[in-house]
Amino acid sequence: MTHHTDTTTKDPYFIDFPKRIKNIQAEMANQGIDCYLGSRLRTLSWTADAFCPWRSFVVIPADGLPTVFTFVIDAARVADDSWLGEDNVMGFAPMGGQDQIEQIADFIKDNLKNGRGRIGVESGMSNYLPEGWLSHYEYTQFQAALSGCELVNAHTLIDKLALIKDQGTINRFKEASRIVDIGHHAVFEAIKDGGYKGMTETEIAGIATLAMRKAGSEWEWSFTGGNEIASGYRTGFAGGACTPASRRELQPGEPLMVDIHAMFKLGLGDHSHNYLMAPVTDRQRWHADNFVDIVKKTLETYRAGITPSLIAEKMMGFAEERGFADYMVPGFEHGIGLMGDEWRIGLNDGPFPYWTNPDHVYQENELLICAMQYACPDDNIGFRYENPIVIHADHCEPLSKFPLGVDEIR
Amino acid sequence: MKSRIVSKIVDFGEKSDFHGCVKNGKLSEEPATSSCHSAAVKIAPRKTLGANNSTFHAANNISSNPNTGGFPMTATFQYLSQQWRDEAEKRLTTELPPERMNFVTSSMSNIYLNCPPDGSEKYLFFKFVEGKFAEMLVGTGTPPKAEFAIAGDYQTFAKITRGELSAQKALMTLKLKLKGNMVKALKLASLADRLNKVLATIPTEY
Repeated sequence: MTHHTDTTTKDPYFIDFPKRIKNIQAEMANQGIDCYLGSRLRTLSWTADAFCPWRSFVVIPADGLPTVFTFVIDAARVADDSWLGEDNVMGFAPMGGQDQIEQIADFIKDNLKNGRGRIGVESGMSNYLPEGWLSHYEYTQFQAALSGCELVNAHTLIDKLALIKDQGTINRFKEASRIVDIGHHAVFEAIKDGGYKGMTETEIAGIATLAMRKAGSEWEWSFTGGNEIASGYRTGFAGGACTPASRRELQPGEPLMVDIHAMFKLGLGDHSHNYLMAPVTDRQRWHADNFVDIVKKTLETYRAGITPSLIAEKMMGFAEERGFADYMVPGFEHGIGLMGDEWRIGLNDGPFPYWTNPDHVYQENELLICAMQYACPDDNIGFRYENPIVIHADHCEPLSKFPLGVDEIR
Repeated sequence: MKSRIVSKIVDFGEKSDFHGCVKNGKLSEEPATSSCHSAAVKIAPRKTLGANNSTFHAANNISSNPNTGGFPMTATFQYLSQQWRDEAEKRLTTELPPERMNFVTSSMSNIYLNCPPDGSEKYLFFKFVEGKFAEMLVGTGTPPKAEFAIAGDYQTFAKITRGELSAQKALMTLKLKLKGNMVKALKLASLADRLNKVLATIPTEY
């Protein structure tokens, strides 16, 4: 029995996957690619609509449906989740003819005229560990198994098509953000009025997890430790923006950073909210107000036509004016897409390969994480803001609605 | 090579107090610890030794035996010959009714490489429609298109049929290659096992 996504346009989370595949195939034809071998997690999410936690591949022929190849222990589940049926989700295993190289190479050759052609592959690099680029070993093995075929790096084809988000994708992110807000409310209820005393960062992470899971989140998707919780000096690592929860106990007079993640149909919620545990010093409040003000200003500035470098320039100028530029990490975004897509903005066309192009021009219906980190290690304090935003012509739309602020907890 | 296994302990299941031994095709009652053989084959309790639940192989020139599911065992059949195919079809039709095959619709080609005496390639093609045995072909050259294709050396298949090698081990050691949807194959593994067990009852000369 399969339980695929509702494929009617009445479903707010509907994504027209067959059309998406046809668009890929049209672009393949333009580029003279006879078959596309995708290996990145983002490509799998974007084409198969299923979370593939094990090494997986998607083969997109010149026409017809794609076929996903994944570890056999998870293949039936992937087929159940995906819009593709069991005939288009294959399991591989260490058995004769069933290992991933031979199985996929045979499949590709069966889909090519005379078993020959140009095969698009995904080769590159990323700071995001589970990206899924074809490894050197896999490349050489596929090259050997596909004699007579030319392997060409073609990931830009997918990246271009995935850049602008359709309404179904945006709605999935909205729902994931709504769930994240439920997690934030649960954390607030738990820590207020001295409730935080004796709690650890890991416990805070768990409180958010329970609430978000109850609300339907599939998991705390971030590879940075699920929900990132930091307290005290851990909020203020110099240049830092990654804090897997530790066993550190929350203390009065310290900051608390709650950066939580929910997933809904591969759409990702990612919002960070910040607290100060009473008693709060004037210096702490000054840092907090700086942070809130720069977040407001950043959200007011994002719109189509602006670039990451322009945003950074404006915001760092504001921070300089206000005297807190020393505490700002000069980056105000990171990329986001369906599960597996959490690295650079836009395409791989910047001065540093596989980093965000600072001159990328935002377009309407791009989705990104408005992200900034404020850190003053000397004062053992820091704050983080993250929120998925949709770019519109003259403004941006933050998807998490949890009220912006640095709340004081008594 | 002729099948050489002439005796096996048979265990009639947990509910049975009977332990027997097949010697030269004859079933005799013996304690399980007897010297008759070491390999135990479980079969249904209190039932005549049936072709579908035994893996013993009859030796040449065995006369008709009630313990072979009623099939006369007066001759051996050359593996993959037309006579062997006919015998296989007879046994599969009798022993594997649709409910035993879970009403499955599927097809499979076994591709035998390096067949004696000339090293040729042969195939054995099966087809089931809604659990009903529909087609079985033996031949040389390209097999009919099937949902699954399993290729391997003739001697590998012979070893599997004689019970000297499990199909799973053969696959895991690259002695056999499977082409087809692995997930579906896993669903059908027990059915393939039933089918092989029936084929294994045919007195066969390899």
